Amino acid sequence: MSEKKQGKHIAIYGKGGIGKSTTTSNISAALADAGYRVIQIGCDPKSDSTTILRGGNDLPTVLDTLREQSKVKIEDVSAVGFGGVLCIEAGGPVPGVGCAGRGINAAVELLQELHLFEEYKPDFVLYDVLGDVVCGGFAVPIRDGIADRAFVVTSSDFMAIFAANNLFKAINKYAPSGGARLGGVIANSVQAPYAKALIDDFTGETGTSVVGYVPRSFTVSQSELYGQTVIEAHPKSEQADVYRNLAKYLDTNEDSVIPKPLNGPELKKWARTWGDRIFEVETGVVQKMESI
Amino acid sequence: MSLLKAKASRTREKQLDALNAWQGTLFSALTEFSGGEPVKRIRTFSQSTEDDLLYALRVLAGIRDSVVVIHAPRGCAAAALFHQVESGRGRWIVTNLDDRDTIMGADGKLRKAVKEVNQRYKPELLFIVSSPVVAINNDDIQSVVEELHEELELDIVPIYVTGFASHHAVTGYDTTLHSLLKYLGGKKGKRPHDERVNLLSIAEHPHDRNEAERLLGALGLELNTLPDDASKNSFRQAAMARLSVSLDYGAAHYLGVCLRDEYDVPFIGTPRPVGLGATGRWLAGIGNALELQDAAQRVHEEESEKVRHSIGDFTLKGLRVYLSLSPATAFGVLELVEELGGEVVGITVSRLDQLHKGAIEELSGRHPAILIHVADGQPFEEVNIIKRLSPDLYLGDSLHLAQVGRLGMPVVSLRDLPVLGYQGVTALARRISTALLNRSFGEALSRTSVPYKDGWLRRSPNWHIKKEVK
Repeated sequence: MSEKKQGKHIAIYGKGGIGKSTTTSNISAALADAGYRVIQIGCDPKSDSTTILRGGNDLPTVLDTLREQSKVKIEDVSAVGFGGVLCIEAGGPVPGVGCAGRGINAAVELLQELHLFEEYKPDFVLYDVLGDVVCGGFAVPIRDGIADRAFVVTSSDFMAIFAANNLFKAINKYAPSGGARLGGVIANSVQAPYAKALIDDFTGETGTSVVGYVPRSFTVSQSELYGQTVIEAHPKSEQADVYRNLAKYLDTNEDSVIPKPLNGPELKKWARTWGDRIFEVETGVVQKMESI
Repeated sequence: MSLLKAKASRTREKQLDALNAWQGTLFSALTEFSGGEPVKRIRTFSQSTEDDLLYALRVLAGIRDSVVVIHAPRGCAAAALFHQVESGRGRWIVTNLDDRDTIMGADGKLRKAVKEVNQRYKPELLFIVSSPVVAINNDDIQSVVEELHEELELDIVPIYVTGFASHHAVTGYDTTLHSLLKYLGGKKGKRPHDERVNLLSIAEHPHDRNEAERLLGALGLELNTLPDDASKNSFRQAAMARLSVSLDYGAAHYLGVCLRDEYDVPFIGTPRPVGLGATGRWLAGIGNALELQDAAQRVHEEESEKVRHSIGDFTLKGLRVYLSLSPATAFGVLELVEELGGEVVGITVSRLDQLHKGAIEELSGRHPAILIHVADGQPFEEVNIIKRLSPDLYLGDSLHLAQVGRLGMPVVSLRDLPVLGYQGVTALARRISTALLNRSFGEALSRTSVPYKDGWLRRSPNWHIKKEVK
C-alpha cells in the first residue's frame, strides 16, 4: 500500500440486486467522462460489477487467474472500459466452497502488491462490494484502510434498509480504529410515493444523509440491455445527469460521518411505523401526512 | 513506498522468490537462480514442517519484560510450549478460541485475556499474536489494541501471523519484526544517528550472541542488540543507529531493510560468521563500513591464532561430510569443513532464495557437483540421500537427527551448539572430535532400522519434488 494513497478510494456497498453495480458503473463512467482516471473493482463473487462498462465482454477475474497461473499481471485481469475506466473483477471461489470474503481480501492485496495504484495513478478507485453479508471478509475494504469512505446504495425496501443498517454497524465498529467512514446514502430505484420520505427518515434516525436520489428509469434498463451505462447510451438523458451529479458529489464533497445504526428492536419498531403509514396511504386514510 | 505501512510483511516467496522444495547440484542451483525468478517446486508428499507461528513466538520469547497473548484455539499454544521447553523463556497465555468464538468473533475474549495478563505480570510490552483461525475469520484485533493501549497505558503490539500464507517459517520472523518496528520504532524518517551499531541477532544461542558482542566490542563498537534480549527501547534506538549488521543476513534481511528504508540506517550484507574465513570476512565487512579495517584485521589475526592453537592438529582430512543446516550456517560450515581438510558431499538447507545467489555462485565455482537439497523437516528425503552418499560424518541442527543417526555414521548436533565466531570453531571442532572418537552411540542406533520401507527408499530422493504446472 502506498504511503500516501493514490486517488480517492471509495467503497460502495448495498444489498444484492439493489442496483449498486449499475450505480457504481454509471458514477465511474461519469467521472471518466469528466476527464478523471478511474478504476472500478468489483468485489462480489458474481463478478458482474463492470459488465456495462465494457460492453459485456469477458474479463477473467483476479481469483480465477490466480487459480490458473502462479504469477498474475495487471493486464491479465483488467480491461479498459468506457471512457478509459480500468475494470477489474475480484471474483470468488467456486460457489459452495471456500470463503468469498477472504477471496476479496486476497484479490485486493494482490492488486496492491502489483502496484496497481502507483502505476495507473487513478484519481478515483471505486470498490463495488456485496453488502448482504458484512462478515469479517467483506468488511475488509472498510476496515483495513483500503477505502477512505463508504457509500451505501439502498431502495425503500425493508431488506435493503436492513442491509444498510448492518453496514452502518460495521462502519461504526471499525471507523474509530482507522476504518472508512460513511460518505452517505444513495437512494436508488426511487419510485413509490413514500420512498424518498422513508429513506430520508431512516438516514435521519441513523445520523446519516442521502447524497443523491436515483429514480427508477426505463433508460437504465434499456442501457443495460445494450451492455452500456446510461452515460454512454443516453448521455443527454435526465438519468445521466442524476449520475453526473452523484459523481460530482463524490468529487467535490469530502464529508463523512460515523453512523448511529439502529439496534434490532429499534429497527423493528421503525419499520412497523412505516408499515402503518404506507398502509394508510394506500388505503386512503385521510390524516396529516406532511412527511409523505 | 513504506514497508511498515502495511499490516504485515510479505511472504518470503514474494520478497525473495524463496524455494522450499528443490534438489540438484550447486551448479544447477546457480543456473536456476541466474535465470531470474526460479521455477517454484511443490512436494506431492510432505512430512511436517515448522511454521511462521513457531518462529514468531521464538522471536518474542527473547524480548525482555514482555508477555504474549496467543489469540488462537488452545492447540496453537503448543508452539509456545515448544519454545518454553527449549529455552525456558517466555510468558504467554492463549485465548482458547472455541466454536462459538469463530462464529461470533472473539474480541471480547481477547480484551479479557489482555487485561488479565497485564494485571498479573504488569509487563512493559504486550504482544497479541494471531493464528490461522483468526486470520481466516478476520477477527478484529486492531480495535482491541487501540482501545486497551489507552485504557491500560501499555504498549500493545499486534502480530498478524497466518500460519498458512507462506511455506517458509522464516516469514514468521518478518511478520514479527515488521510489527515490532512499526509499533516501537517511532515515526518514519531520518533521525540524528548516534554512535550505536545495531547487531541484528534473531533466535541465536546466547553464547553466539556473546561471542559476536565480544568481537565487535574489541573493535570499540557500542552495540544495540535486537531482537534477541531486546527491550522496548531497543527498537526506538535501532532507528537512530549508524549501521545495522547481522549474524544471519538471511534471517535478519527484512529487519535490516526496514531500518534502512524507513529510518535511513545503512545495512551491510555480510556472511554468517561461521568458521575462520567467514568470520574474518564478517569482521572485515563491518570494519570497511566503519573505517575500522586495521582493527578488524588485527582482531581476526589474533583470534585465528588462538583458534589454531586451541584445536591443534585437529583435522577432517579424508572425511566426507554431509550438512543439514539453515542456509547461512550451512554455507559457513561448508567453508569450515574445507578449512579443516574435509570434503562436503551434500547439503540440506531449509530454503534457498535470491539472497543465496552470491554464496551459490562462489561455492559452485569450486564445487559444482555438491548436491544441494532444499527441505524443511523432510527426514525421509534426507535419509534416502544419505544412504546413497554414505558420508563419514553428519552435521545438522534439525529435529530428526535420531533418524539420520540410525544410518550408523557419527552425527553431530549443532542444535544447541554455539558455532559463531572463533569460539564457535573451537566448540565445533571439539564436538566433532568427540563424535569421531566415541562411536558407540551411533553404532547402537544403527542396530535399529529407519522407519521407511525399502520400496520408498528405492525411489529417487526427489521423487515427490515436482515443478508446479500452472
